Amino acid sequence: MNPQTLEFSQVSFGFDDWPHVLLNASWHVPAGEFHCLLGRSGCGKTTLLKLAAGLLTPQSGQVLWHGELVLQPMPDVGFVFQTPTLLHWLSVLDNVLLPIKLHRACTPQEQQRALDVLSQMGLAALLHQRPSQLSGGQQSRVAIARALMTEPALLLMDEPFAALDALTREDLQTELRQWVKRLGTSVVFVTHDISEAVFLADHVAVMNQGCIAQDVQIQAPLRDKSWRYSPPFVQHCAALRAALDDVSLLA
Amino acid sequence: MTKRNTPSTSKQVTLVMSAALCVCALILWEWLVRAKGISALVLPAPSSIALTLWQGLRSGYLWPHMLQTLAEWAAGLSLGCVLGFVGGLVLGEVSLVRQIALPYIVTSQVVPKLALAPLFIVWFGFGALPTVVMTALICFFPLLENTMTAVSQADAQQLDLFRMLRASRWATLVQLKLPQGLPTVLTGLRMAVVLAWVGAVVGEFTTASKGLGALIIAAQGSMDTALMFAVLVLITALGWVSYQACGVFERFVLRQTGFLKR
Amino acid sequence: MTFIQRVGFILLAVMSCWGQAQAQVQAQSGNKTDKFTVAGWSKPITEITNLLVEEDKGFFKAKGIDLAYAPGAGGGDALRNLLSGQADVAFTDPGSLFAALDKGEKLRVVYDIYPQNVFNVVSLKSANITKPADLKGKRIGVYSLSSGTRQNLQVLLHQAGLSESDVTVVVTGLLNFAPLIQGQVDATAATDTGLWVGRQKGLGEVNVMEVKNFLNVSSDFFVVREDTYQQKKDLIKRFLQAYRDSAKWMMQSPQEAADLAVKFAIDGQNPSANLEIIKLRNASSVSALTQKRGLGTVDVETLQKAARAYKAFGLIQNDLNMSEVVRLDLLPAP
Repeated sequence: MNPQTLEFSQVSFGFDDWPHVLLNASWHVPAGEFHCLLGRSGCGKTTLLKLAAGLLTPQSGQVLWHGELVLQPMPDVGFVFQTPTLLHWLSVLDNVLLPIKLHRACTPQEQQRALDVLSQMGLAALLHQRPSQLSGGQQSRVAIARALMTEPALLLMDEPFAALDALTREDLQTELRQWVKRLGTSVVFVTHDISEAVFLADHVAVMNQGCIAQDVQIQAPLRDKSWRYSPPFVQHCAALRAALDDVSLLA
Repeated sequence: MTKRNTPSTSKQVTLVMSAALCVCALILWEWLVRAKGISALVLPAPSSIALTLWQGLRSGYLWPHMLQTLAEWAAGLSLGCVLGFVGGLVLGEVSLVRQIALPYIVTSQVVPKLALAPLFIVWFGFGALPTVVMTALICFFPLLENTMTAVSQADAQQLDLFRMLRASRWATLVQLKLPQGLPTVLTGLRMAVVLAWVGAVVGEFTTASKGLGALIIAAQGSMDTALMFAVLVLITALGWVSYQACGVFERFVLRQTGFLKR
Repeated sequence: MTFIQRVGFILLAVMSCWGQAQAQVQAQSGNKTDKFTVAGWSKPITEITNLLVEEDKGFFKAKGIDLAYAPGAGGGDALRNLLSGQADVAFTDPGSLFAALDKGEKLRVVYDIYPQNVFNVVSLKSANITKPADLKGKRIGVYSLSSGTRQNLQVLLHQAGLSESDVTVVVTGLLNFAPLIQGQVDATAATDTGLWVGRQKGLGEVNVMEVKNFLNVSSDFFVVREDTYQQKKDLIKRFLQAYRDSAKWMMQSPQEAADLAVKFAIDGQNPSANLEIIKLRNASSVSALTQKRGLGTVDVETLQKAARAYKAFGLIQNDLNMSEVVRLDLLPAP
């Protein structure tokens, strides 16, 4: 049984109007690690994420999840979209239980697990509210809770905090790290925000010209508020900034 | 003292203005008929229409006809809704069926139904059935069109979500597309409710011995134009009530499903 | 999903209740009596009250017949419903009958309902139309293109050497005096009852040309298909006996008929108006021939004359032998 790793092997993909979104991209995400995919807006990060999810299939090369070809969405992979994409006709609780209820009735244990997750996020009082009654930050939390409901081995996240205000974003970044580390979930987190990448990631992959140009390891003793303003943090940000600006870096 | 223009005040004001306009129009009509001496055959006065309506309701003359048309409306609407909704689902989901069937469905709408009435008599006999079928034929189309549209209204991200959750095609239809398209479907229903009245009344013109449509023809035959207008007023009232009721139902459903704030 | 399920169950319940109600109605009609449907030229109106009062008077039930009435818009409609099998007998006018026979339809005339011609052409006095020839170039209203009013208008025109192409025929529907009053038509083809009602509604001074003064062919007959005539002679006999009884009752008790028309006729709200209309129809149901040989006897000679006239006017193409079409053997004894 192969370890839970995500592997991109010489993957190429393009659209009609954009033929080389990915050009022979290779990448490796080991189990249990938090990887950020950093790049300018429109560089193809979302496309790469969708290839990992099985929502798109590569035109050449292979995407492998624990050794198997990814041709369609896999059961132990979760996805969090750019907007919460909650179903507004369901309550918060039903939204979180959606991955289960789509296929069968949910067990009392699963119901309890949903309640626990929502309590941990501070949303216990909002169980029976409709998504439209929640703030943006609360909706994002619910979307993450939904993705974590099936305890996925891999969580793919496409700039989920981009539409939120700075303060909420920082709170959610802290919480997210705690949740996924507790569960041992591998994460691929797409962002264009350098400080977000440095705060969250164990590894930051810089995407440029259709491939992963650079991989930077981030080591931090503690991922809290003090980390955000420490010298190593600032140095990492500067280095990544330089990497993003450097057009000469090719695969 | 400043006047506060709260929302409820302005709504009351518009209601009063609307009612006043109606009353003015009626007064003008009454005066015109009396002053110009217009024959009752040509244009009866509102007062004679009101009197005919009142007498007809009080004597019990109008009730059996109303109930007949109401029953045909309900049955035709139910049949049309089932056809329209199920048809819309199938045509919305299966593009091959849509490409094959849609030209015929559109043709069925373009053909004037009244012209089909003699054929309906041959196929369905006399009585309520041809009227029910005609009503269904007239009112199913808005629901079909709107359901077809509704099914394609889920956005790409929602569809991706359901793909990620590995939902079956049926689950995606029933748990995403239909709820997402509910407002559109309900709009189609509202249109069908109104059109069904047209179908029921027009269907009765040729095929029925009882009902408001049959009454219109009979009133023409006995040259009782006031009765004809009275029946039209009745049909209008019934249509308006059912439209409002549908609106209430629609708002209730949309509130329950989170499309409207409670 | 639950919402849709709920809606689905409600719909199923409605449909099954409807179906059950229909089944009950059919069961109640029983099989002791024979079903017999009359295809009429109108909705169930006061003129035919004797056909509508079965519930109270039971003339047809007494002869073992479960009577049904199918409405129409003109004699042509009635014949079409007869020929398509929707009805067993048609209440139709000679013009429509000739047209159908001309096309080769196998029909039999079994009863003369109104031996008097009740049709007329009415115009406002101001139009100065006093004879058929005055109709040339005028706009004339008719009930419908398949109605007796149109057929009889053609008879009137051809009497004066005119045809439909010399006038403009306008379909006015049943509310045919309104366009006359408004001046949208110069004359309108109507019936005696229509004219009476029009006069009540303020028609004013009019000139009336009665078709019976030119060709007194009957207004309406009972017509059956050839196959019905061959196979269900007894049933037709019983029907005609029952009809005659009902017609006699209407003649003997017009006030009672007028009162019942309030309940059974769709246009019968006013009993005194009903009485006048019933009296007019009673008068048109009798003639010298029916006095002698009983209600419903067909005057074959006049009918043949009419068929010849229709051929002469070019309204039909073929010669019709009415003595073959008319069958008086099913008429009850006087």
